[in-house]
Parts: sequence; structure tokens; C-alpha cells
Amino acid sequence: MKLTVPHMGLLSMAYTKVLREHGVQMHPPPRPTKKTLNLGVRHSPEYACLPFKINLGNMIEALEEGVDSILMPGGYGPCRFGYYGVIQAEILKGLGYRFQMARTDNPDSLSDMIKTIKDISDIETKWDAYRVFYLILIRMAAFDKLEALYFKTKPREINNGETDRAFREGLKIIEDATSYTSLLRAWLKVKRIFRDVKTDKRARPLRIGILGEIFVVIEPFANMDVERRLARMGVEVVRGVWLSDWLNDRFRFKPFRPNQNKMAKKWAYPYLRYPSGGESIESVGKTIKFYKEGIDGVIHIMPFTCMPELVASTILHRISSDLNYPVLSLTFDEHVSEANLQTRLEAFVDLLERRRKKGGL
Amino acid sequence: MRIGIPKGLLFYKFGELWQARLRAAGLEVVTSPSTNPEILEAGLKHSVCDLCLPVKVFFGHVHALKDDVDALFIPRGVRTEPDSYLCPKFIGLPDMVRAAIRRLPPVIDTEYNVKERSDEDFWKEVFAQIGHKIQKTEEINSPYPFCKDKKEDSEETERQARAFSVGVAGRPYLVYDNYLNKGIIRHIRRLGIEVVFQTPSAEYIRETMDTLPKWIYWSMAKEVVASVRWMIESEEVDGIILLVNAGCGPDSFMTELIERTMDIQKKPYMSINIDEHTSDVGLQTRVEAFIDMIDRRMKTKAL
Repeated sequence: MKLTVPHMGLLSMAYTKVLREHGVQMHPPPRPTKKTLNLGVRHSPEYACLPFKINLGNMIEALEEGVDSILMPGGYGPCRFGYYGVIQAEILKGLGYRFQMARTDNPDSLSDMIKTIKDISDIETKWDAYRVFYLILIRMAAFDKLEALYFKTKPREINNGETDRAFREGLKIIEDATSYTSLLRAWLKVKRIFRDVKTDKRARPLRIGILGEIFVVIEPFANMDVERRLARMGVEVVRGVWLSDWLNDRFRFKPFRPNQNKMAKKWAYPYLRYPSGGESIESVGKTIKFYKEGIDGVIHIMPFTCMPELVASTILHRISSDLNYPVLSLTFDEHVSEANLQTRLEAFVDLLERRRKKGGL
Repeated sequence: MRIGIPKGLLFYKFGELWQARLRAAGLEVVTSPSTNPEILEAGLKHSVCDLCLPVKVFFGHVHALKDDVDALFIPRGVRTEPDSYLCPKFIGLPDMVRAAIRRLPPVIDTEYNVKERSDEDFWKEVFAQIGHKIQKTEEINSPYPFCKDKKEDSEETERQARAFSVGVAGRPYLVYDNYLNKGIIRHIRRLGIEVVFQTPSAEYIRETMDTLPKWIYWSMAKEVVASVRWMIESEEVDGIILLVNAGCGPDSFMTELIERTMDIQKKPYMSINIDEHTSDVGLQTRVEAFIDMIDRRMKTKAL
């Protein structure tokens, strides 16, 4: 059995190596490229959202490379994500591929995840499955922390490119750490590497919060690398949605980190009183939080026709005018042009800089 | 006290029940007029551009009502059945309305969630929000009084009775709103074709779900899929038109699901995507061509 799971940011790096050590023949699809997207778009329903199209392209490319099983998380709404696997399987069948598709329809439930891990690997006891699952979660958290470190360091670096090198090195180090103890050692090493990057301690870069639908936020291909574009312009990116937070809200592997979803609910209450699926409540709640923390502005990212984020986007419009707080909404699909995106980002950054000067900061 | 109910979205499913219930409690109830160009215009003005047309139009209805009522009745539709949701936009609807339109009267945004509370509790909270004592009222006991196709708009202009009928499937707020669907129903009737709507029974919906690879978890999408299946199997229907509004999340998947898992070759089938840019004339031409196609098919079959 050669198994593949469509990409979602750095997630595949967190599990591939670990699962391989336990006898799973993991074969991640190639990193999404323009070709992946084109394949996905060609075979998807017109109004399907961008993650669906990229996932489908991923699956086709993996099948072309000889994969015979696909694992696709599912769910029961209200967002469309829970139905992705069903439609994708029908489309792939129609294209004549032969494969097995497993759906984990309760990605929120720990016992289901454990069962899935036991089913696909040679792990025998439940205890071992738990250990492996939590190792994957913590590896994911380490990758997220690495990215946060990158966003913090990049706008302050003195020698251009040094942070990027440190980041690449960090990825490698964490990926190779496949046990709890080596992971701890790896993390200390990563911290040392970043400490060695020369930075301007007195710099006070603009800070921009990134919020929105989780897939488009954490998958650089889907958002045309918005975060690194900003970082290169000398902006400190403060990301509001992390995959490890999403996982932590469900599996509590970082017991001291508060439940982000619950916190967001509290912040969002004046504007959005009920979570309407996806990351809508986080987008609204954390915009208000970022405002209170003095972050200079927020960029809200979503795929075209995303239902939950459209609710958030409507409300963010109002928050922006009520609080006089800059919010830029970016919608992504296969038609977004790079030049257009770059211009809009630069204009937004200019606007924030002017506001800062005017505010006498 | 005047309560206003915008005539859009869930109104086409629960409108009559809501009105009856509120009136029975001694409140004055008004609805916005049927969708018209001004309402559409106002709706477009107040919404972000990617929203689907029915939600935009709903904003227009709110806009038309807000100045002459004391409160707006916009319940938060979370679940109308225990095992499925409504689309996220229904869940966030009251908050979206409050965000999109300024100077609103109080919005009654009671959560309608049959999984977590009974119908009775829902109404108790509605009246608590209005600040109204519940009077003893006669029981209104049907939870799904589906808005039957009211004949108010159907013009009896049967020119020559052609001997066949077309089934129209789609979400109630699109199919029954004659302005939103560009008068397509009226147009088909004017051609002398009988239009068949079908609201499948709960039993039939369950049966349909079992034929699919996975249960659908949106109530309205379930109904759409089940009614298409009914139309494919039924003797009463000779052709099927599926109305979908562009940008509808659930239906973008459902059309795909229908086309890939159901036997749509059996009958002439057409799905139409409608948004605010759709032209009436273009749509009429497509419908006429579709009707002619069925006509030809019927004739060759008769030979």
C-alpha cells in the first residue's frame, strides 16, 4: 500500500518521516505548483473552493506517481470541507484511476485518529499509537514555532538572506528528529541557529496580522506566499491561525495554551455571536484582539466562495469602519495575478506606514 | 409592536409558520414586498462582492423593512434537522445583517437549532427577546410547513396545452422567488408547459441519502438532491431543470454529485446558474431550446 495525503502547509513534513519509521509507505504528493492547480481546476466543479482544487491536483499527481491509497480527512459540516473526499473520489473514478480512498470522518475525535494510525501502520498497541500521534502533533507545533521565529527575525535581519538560510536549516533539523528526546535537542539547536542571525535590535517594523481560512493561510502556494512577500518588505507578520493551535484545541497536547477557539468566541461576541463554521469566529475575534494589541493592520485571506469566511469578511468590513482599523481582504482562486497581489500589498503597507507617521509613533 | 420578517432565505421554508405563530401571540407582523429591482439594488449596495445572490437580496429586504418596524425577525438557522446543518451563511445571518446595514431596529436572532432545543424552547426565547408575554395560543404543530407554490404569480395563459411537464428543483428561496429566478417559472408556464415542484418526504430523503457515498449534511441540499432523484424516477416529469445560484457553496458540490452518481441520462436535464448578471433573455432562450428538445424527444418517442 502506497499512501498519500494531500498537502497542507508543513503538515506532511510532520508525519511523513515518523509514519515511515512505523512501516507506513507514505508517499506525499509533490509540492503544489501551477501544474497541480491547473490539473485540479480542469476537473473540479466551477464554484468549488481553492483548497478543493489544489487537493485534487495533489491527488492526481500522486496517483500518476504510482500511489494506490489516499487518506482524506472529512467531517460533518457546515463547511464544504467534509464533503471534499466524496466528490474528489467520484471525479478521480471518472478519470479512470484505480485507488482506495479512506476518509476519517471525525477528524476531531482522538479515538478515530488513533484507530486510523493503527490501521495503516504496523503499530500494535494503542499506547504506541497514542505516542506516535502525539509526537506528530508536537512536531507540527515545532514547525509552527519555527515559522513564527522566522516571521519575527526576518524583518529585523541585517544581512539579507540569513534568516531564510536559518529557516531552511531549521526545517531539516526538526524533520530529522523523530523521537521526543531528539525533538527537544533539535529545538534547542534551532533556537541557537536563530540567535546567531544578526538582527537590528532597535528596529520597530510594521506588524500585520494574518487571518482567514486555515488552508489558504498556512499553504504558501495557495496564498502566493503572502507572508514571505510581506516579510521581504520588512513587515513583521503575526499569524493568527496555526495548524498546531487547531490541533491543540481538539487534542490538548499543549495543556497550558488556552483554547484559541474559545478565546476567539469571547472576543468576537459583539460582532459574531455564534461560530459559523470554518475559521469565521477566529477571523472576527482575532481581528479585535490584534486591534487591542496595537498590531498595525490585518490581512484577511480566504478562498473564493468560501462560505464561513464570507460571513467573517462581511463583519470585518464593519469592524474596520467602526474601529478605524485597516483590514485588507484578499480572495484567492486560480485567477489571482501575482502583480496585482504585490501592488495591493505594497499599497497596504504604504498606508500603514503613513498612519504610523501620522500617529506620531 | 410591529415585527418585520424579511422575505428571503428561510422565509420560503418557515415564513408561514413564523407569521402564524407571531400573529397568534397578538403581534403585528409585516413582511417586505416580493423581491423587486429596488430591493436588489439596495442589497447589492450593502454587501461584499463575493456573497451569493440570495444573501445579497436578503440585505435588500432588510433595508426595505427596517424603517417601519420595531423589530426584525431574523432567527439564526443552525440546524433544522438534528443530523444536518444549514449553510454557514444562515448561521451567521443575523450578525451579517447587523454588520452590513446601519441604523437597524433590534434584531431577534434566536438560535434555531433542533438538535439542542425543542421548537417550544425556540419560541419561548423569541418571545423573551421581544419582551412579550406568551399568551395561551392554539397549537401550531407542523414543524415543516413548506411554502407551497403560491399561485399568486402564475398567470393562466396556457396557449396550447403541450402534453408534458418539466420538474424544477432547487432551493426554495430561489425557485419560489420569481424575481430572483428571473421569472423562469412563469416563462415555462407561458410556453404551456406544466411545472412540477417536489418537496420530498423525510422518508424519501433518507432513502436517497442511503444511495449516496456519504450522507449530505446540509438540510436544503438534501432536499434538492432528493427532489432531483424523485424527478428522474417519476413518470410525471419529462425533463428536469436544476436551478442553482452562482457561488452557492453546497450546491456547487451537489450539482457535481448529481451529475456523477445519478442516472441523469434518463431524461433531459439542465442545470442553470443564476447570479445578478444573468440576462433574462439569454435564460429564456436556453429554456425554450430545452423545452423544444423535450418536445422533439416526445414526438419521436410517440412515433
